[in-house]
Amino acid sequence: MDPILLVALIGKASLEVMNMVQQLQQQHANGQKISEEQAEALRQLVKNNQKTIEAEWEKA
Amino acid sequence: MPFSLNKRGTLCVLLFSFCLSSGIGCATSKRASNDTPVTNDSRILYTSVLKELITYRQIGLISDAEKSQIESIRKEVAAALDIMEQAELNNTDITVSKANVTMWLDKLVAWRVKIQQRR
Repeated sequence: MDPILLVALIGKASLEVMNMVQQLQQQHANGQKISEEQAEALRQLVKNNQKTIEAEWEKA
Repeated sequence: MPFSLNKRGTLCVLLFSFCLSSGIGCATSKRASNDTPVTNDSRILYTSVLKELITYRQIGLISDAEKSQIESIRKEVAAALDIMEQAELNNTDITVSKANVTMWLDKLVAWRVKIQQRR
Protein backbone atom coordinates (compact mmCIF):
# COMPACT_ATOMS: atom_id res chain seq x y z
CA MET A 1 0.00 0.00 0.00
CA ASP A 2 1.18 3.52 -0.73
CA PRO A 3 2.72 4.84 2.49
CA ILE A 4 1.06 8.26 2.26
CA LEU A 5 -2.35 6.72 1.68
CA LEU A 6 -1.81 4.35 4.56
CA VAL A 7 -0.88 7.17 6.89
CA ALA A 8 -3.81 9.28 5.69
CA LEU A 9 -6.24 6.42 6.26
CA ILE A 10 -5.16 5.57 9.74
CA GLY A 11 -4.22 9.13 10.64
CA LYS A 12 -2.45 8.11 13.77
CA ALA A 13 1.21 7.93 12.85
CA SER A 14 3.46 10.43 14.54
CA LEU A 15 4.08 13.72 12.76
CA GLU A 16 7.74 12.96 12.35
CA VAL A 17 7.04 9.69 10.56
CA MET A 18 4.44 11.33 8.33
CA ASN A 19 6.77 14.15 7.35
CA MET A 20 9.56 11.78 6.43
CA VAL A 21 7.25 9.51 4.44
CA GLN A 22 5.89 12.55 2.55
CA GLN A 23 9.38 13.76 1.76
CA LEU A 24 10.42 10.38 0.42
CA GLN A 25 7.24 10.04 -1.62
CA GLN A 26 8.00 13.39 -3.23
CA GLN A 27 11.44 12.13 -4.11
CA HIS A 28 10.00 9.01 -5.67
CA ALA A 29 7.54 11.13 -7.66
CA ASN A 30 10.47 13.20 -8.93
CA GLY A 31 12.19 10.04 -10.07
CA GLN A 32 14.85 10.22 -7.38
CA LYS A 33 15.99 7.05 -5.73
CA ILE A 34 16.04 7.30 -1.95
CA SER A 35 19.51 7.16 -0.52
CA GLU A 36 20.81 4.51 1.86
CA GLU A 37 20.93 7.16 4.57
CA GLN A 38 17.29 8.16 4.03
CA ALA A 39 16.15 4.54 3.93
CA GLU A 40 17.99 3.82 7.16
CA ALA A 41 16.68 6.99 8.84
CA LEU A 42 13.10 6.09 7.96
CA ARG A 43 13.53 2.51 9.04
CA GLN A 44 14.92 3.57 12.42
CA LEU A 45 12.29 6.28 12.87
CA VAL A 46 9.45 3.83 12.27
CA LYS A 47 11.03 1.26 14.61
CA ASN A 48 11.64 3.83 17.36
CA ASN A 49 8.07 5.04 17.01
CA GLN A 50 6.93 1.45 17.46
CA LYS A 51 9.07 1.00 20.57
CA THR A 52 7.67 4.19 22.09
CA ILE A 53 4.10 3.06 21.57
CA GLU A 54 4.83 -0.44 22.85
CA ALA A 55 6.23 1.12 26.03
CA GLU A 56 3.01 3.12 26.40
CA TRP A 57 0.98 -0.07 26.01
CA GLU A 58 3.00 -1.80 28.69
CA LYS A 59 2.29 1.05 31.13
CA ALA A 60 -1.41 1.31 30.26
CA MET B 1 35.90 -15.03 -40.73
CA PRO B 2 35.49 -12.81 -37.61
CA PHE B 3 32.22 -12.86 -35.71
CA SER B 4 29.79 -10.32 -37.08
CA LEU B 5 26.26 -9.27 -36.21
CA ASN B 6 23.39 -8.49 -38.46
CA LYS B 7 21.29 -5.37 -37.78
CA ARG B 8 18.81 -7.20 -35.53
CA GLY B 9 21.59 -8.78 -33.52
CA THR B 10 23.32 -5.43 -33.11
CA LEU B 11 20.09 -3.83 -31.93
CA CYS B 12 19.55 -6.62 -29.38
CA VAL B 13 23.04 -6.22 -27.99
CA LEU B 14 22.66 -2.47 -27.75
CA LEU B 15 19.30 -2.75 -25.98
CA PHE B 16 20.63 -5.35 -23.57
CA SER B 17 23.64 -3.18 -22.75
CA PHE B 18 21.39 -0.18 -22.21
CA CYS B 19 19.15 -2.18 -19.86
CA LEU B 20 22.12 -3.39 -17.86
CA SER B 21 23.61 0.07 -17.51
CA SER B 22 20.33 1.78 -16.63
CA GLY B 23 19.21 -0.91 -14.20
CA ILE B 24 15.96 -1.67 -16.01
CA GLY B 25 14.70 -5.07 -14.90
CA CYS B 26 17.14 -5.19 -12.03
CA ALA B 27 15.14 -5.30 -8.82
CA THR B 28 18.12 -4.30 -6.71
CA SER B 29 18.44 -0.93 -8.46
CA LYS B 30 14.84 0.08 -7.66
CA ARG B 31 15.52 0.90 -4.05
CA ALA B 32 18.30 1.37 -1.56
CA SER B 33 19.54 -1.95 -0.20
CA ASN B 34 18.36 -1.09 3.32
CA ASP B 35 14.96 0.24 2.30
CA THR B 36 12.16 -1.78 3.89
CA PRO B 37 8.94 -0.24 2.57
CA VAL B 38 6.71 -3.25 3.25
CA THR B 39 7.92 -3.61 6.82
CA ASN B 40 7.67 0.15 7.38
CA ASP B 41 4.05 0.14 6.20
CA SER B 42 3.20 -2.82 8.42
CA ARG B 43 4.87 -1.26 11.45
CA ILE B 44 2.91 1.96 10.94
CA LEU B 45 -0.34 0.01 10.74
CA TYR B 46 0.55 -2.06 13.82
CA THR B 47 1.39 1.02 15.88
CA SER B 48 -1.82 2.67 14.79
CA VAL B 49 -3.87 -0.28 16.05
CA LEU B 50 -1.85 -0.42 19.26
CA LYS B 51 -2.36 3.30 19.92
CA GLU B 52 -6.09 2.80 19.68
CA LEU B 53 -5.95 -0.15 22.07
CA ILE B 54 -3.96 1.99 24.51
CA THR B 55 -6.75 4.56 24.47
CA TYR B 56 -9.37 1.88 25.12
CA ARG B 57 -7.30 0.48 27.98
CA GLN B 58 -6.90 3.96 29.48
CA ILE B 59 -10.64 4.56 29.50
CA GLY B 60 -11.31 1.22 31.14
CA LEU B 61 -12.65 -0.80 28.24
CA ILE B 62 -9.95 -3.51 28.41
CA SER B 63 -9.66 -5.72 31.48
CA ASP B 64 -6.36 -7.06 32.87
CA ALA B 65 -7.16 -10.52 31.56
CA GLU B 66 -7.93 -9.14 28.12
CA LYS B 67 -4.78 -7.04 28.12
CA SER B 68 -2.82 -10.21 28.79
CA GLN B 69 -4.46 -11.94 25.83
CA ILE B 70 -3.83 -8.95 23.59
CA GLU B 71 -0.22 -8.79 24.77
CA SER B 72 0.37 -12.39 23.60
CA ILE B 73 -0.83 -11.44 20.13
CA ARG B 74 1.11 -8.19 20.18
CA LYS B 75 4.35 -10.04 20.84
CA GLU B 76 3.70 -12.30 17.87
CA VAL B 77 3.08 -9.30 15.62
CA ALA B 78 6.30 -7.65 16.74
CA ALA B 79 8.31 -10.83 16.23
CA ALA B 80 6.79 -11.40 12.79
CA LEU B 81 7.62 -7.83 11.80
CA ASP B 82 11.26 -8.30 12.77
CA ILE B 83 11.46 -11.50 10.72
CA MET B 84 9.91 -9.81 7.70
CA GLU B 85 12.30 -6.90 8.08
CA GLN B 86 15.28 -9.24 7.93
CA ALA B 87 13.92 -10.87 4.79
CA GLU B 88 13.40 -7.47 3.19
CA LEU B 89 16.90 -6.33 4.15
CA ASN B 90 18.36 -9.54 2.75
CA ASN B 91 16.32 -9.00 -0.43
CA THR B 92 14.79 -12.47 -0.10
CA ASP B 93 11.17 -13.43 -0.73
CA ILE B 94 8.87 -11.96 1.92
CA THR B 95 5.68 -13.79 0.91
CA VAL B 96 5.65 -16.19 3.84
CA SER B 97 6.77 -13.68 6.45
CA LYS B 98 4.27 -11.12 5.17
CA ALA B 99 1.48 -13.68 5.43
CA ASN B 100 2.54 -14.32 9.03
CA VAL B 101 2.51 -10.61 9.87
CA THR B 102 -0.92 -10.29 8.27
CA MET B 103 -2.27 -13.24 10.24
CA TRP B 104 -1.19 -11.88 13.62
CA LEU B 105 -2.08 -8.29 12.78
CA ASP B 106 -5.58 -9.44 11.81
CA LYS B 107 -5.97 -10.96 15.29
CA LEU B 108 -4.93 -7.66 16.86
CA VAL B 109 -7.35 -5.76 14.64
CA ALA B 110 -10.09 -8.21 15.63
CA TRP B 111 -9.52 -7.25 19.27
CA ARG B 112 -9.71 -3.57 18.31
CA VAL B 113 -13.05 -4.17 16.58
CA LYS B 114 -14.37 -6.11 19.57
CA ILE B 115 -13.42 -3.36 22.02
CA GLN B 116 -14.69 -0.58 19.71
CA GLN B 117 -18.16 -2.09 19.95
CA ARG B 118 -18.19 -1.52 23.72
CA ARG B 119 -17.99 2.25 23.35
